[in-house]
Amino acid sequence: MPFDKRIEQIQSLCEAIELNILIWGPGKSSPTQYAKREKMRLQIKNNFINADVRFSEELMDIMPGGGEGLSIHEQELLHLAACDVCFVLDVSKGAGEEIAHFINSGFGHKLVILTHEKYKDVSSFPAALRKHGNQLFFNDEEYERCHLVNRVVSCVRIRAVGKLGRLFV
Amino acid sequence: MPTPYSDEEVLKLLQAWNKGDEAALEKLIPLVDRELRSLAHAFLRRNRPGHDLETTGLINEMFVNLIGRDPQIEWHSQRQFFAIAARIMRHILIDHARKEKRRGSAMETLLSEVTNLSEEKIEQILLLDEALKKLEGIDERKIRIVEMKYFAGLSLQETAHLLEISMVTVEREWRFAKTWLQREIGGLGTTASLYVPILTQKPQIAVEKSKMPAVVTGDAERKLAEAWSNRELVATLMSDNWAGLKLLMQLRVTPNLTNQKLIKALKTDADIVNPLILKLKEFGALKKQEAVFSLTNSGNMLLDNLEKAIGKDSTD
Repeated sequence: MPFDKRIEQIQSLCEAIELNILIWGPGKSSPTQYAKREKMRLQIKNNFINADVRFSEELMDIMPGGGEGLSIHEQELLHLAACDVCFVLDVSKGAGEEIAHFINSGFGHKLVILTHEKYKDVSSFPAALRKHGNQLFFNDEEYERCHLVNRVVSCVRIRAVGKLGRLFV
Repeated sequence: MPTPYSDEEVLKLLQAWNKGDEAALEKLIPLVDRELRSLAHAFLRRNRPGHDLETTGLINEMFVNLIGRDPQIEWHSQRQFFAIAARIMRHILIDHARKEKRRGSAMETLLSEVTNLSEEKIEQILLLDEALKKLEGIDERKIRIVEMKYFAGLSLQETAHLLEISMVTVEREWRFAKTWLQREIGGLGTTASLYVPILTQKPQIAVEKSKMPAVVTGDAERKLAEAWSNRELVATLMSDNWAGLKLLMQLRVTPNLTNQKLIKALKTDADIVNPLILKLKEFGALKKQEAVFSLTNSGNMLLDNLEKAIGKDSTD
């Protein structure tokens, strides 16, 4: 079979692979940021047919036993353990600070923290996250336009191919 | 689809017609006739011979449908006009299929591309139509691509031109739309669900939590580095329209190639191949020994996994 045909099959499989994706970030009380999370979810679902994309606040409903007996951190850790990739929309100083310690959980590689570039020098997150591509910075223009959402979709695409190739991504 | 008239000219006439100027329509029709005919002809060609609609009839019905629209369409470009014309033509053909209880061969062929079902064909047409409507609600651009590329039989290039998007986007969205339709017609919902992994992993969480130190450990950093390196490898495979993956596939078929032979085999140039080689080496898929390149164990394993996924032997 020609390479192009095989690559086309791989592309199709990646778009149809099962993906569990989380998007953490501000809730409905911050309408603009919430809308951005919605946009991310929509675009991921438009590109990956079998992606289950959830917001953290929606997961409480599907926690076994309502998550009884687990602290919020434990619940978040459980969500992180269960997903393939977790995007964190970090739009305020220190908003996702508490997430940083998940880096030691064994699931830290699944985090993709999206931080406004004005917080580039704020050391909320360990440098290791930034160094290994787990913290991405965006500016106002990228946020307003579709660039940030497109970057999120690209991150998912890489993870989909990695999952298909059984790589630890 | 080059046109002998300007976009501006057509746009002005469309806008004038919208304002009730019937003479504008008279002037418009000869300008767009050739392309509408070619569009209508393509639609009809993909339907079985003997269809009671003819090219002129389809165009006429399209205009009748367009005139009767409320609210009227706000015209922005001639491309938008042809895109809408294609959409209306599809609806007209679907209606005919529904009325006549028979399908056009275009539908059959599309069905054969997206499903193995072969019985109760008229129901499948309607099922397909329902799925197309649903897809339209989710992502309008994808449905426009299906209409242009499939129903109107336009090439990738023509579809990209009409919709003012890149060919790569058309290709990707067309592929997605086919998979989506296949799933819809097969009655399958999204199969992924976070619920299952959450259920299965709950017992491990307390243990994990107790192990988490306050500062980043060497082990955590190693894991981050490994995942990053693998992601970079995947990004390299996908770069330049998947040239990285083609390079690995080429080395699998013909191992131990020099840089020059690789460039020749891939029918590309050094500017593309050389950076790929560097990155594939850096991220562990490729090795160089005595001026020839071959796959590492990791590179072989990655290709094995991808080949297994598509269910094909890598040597065929």
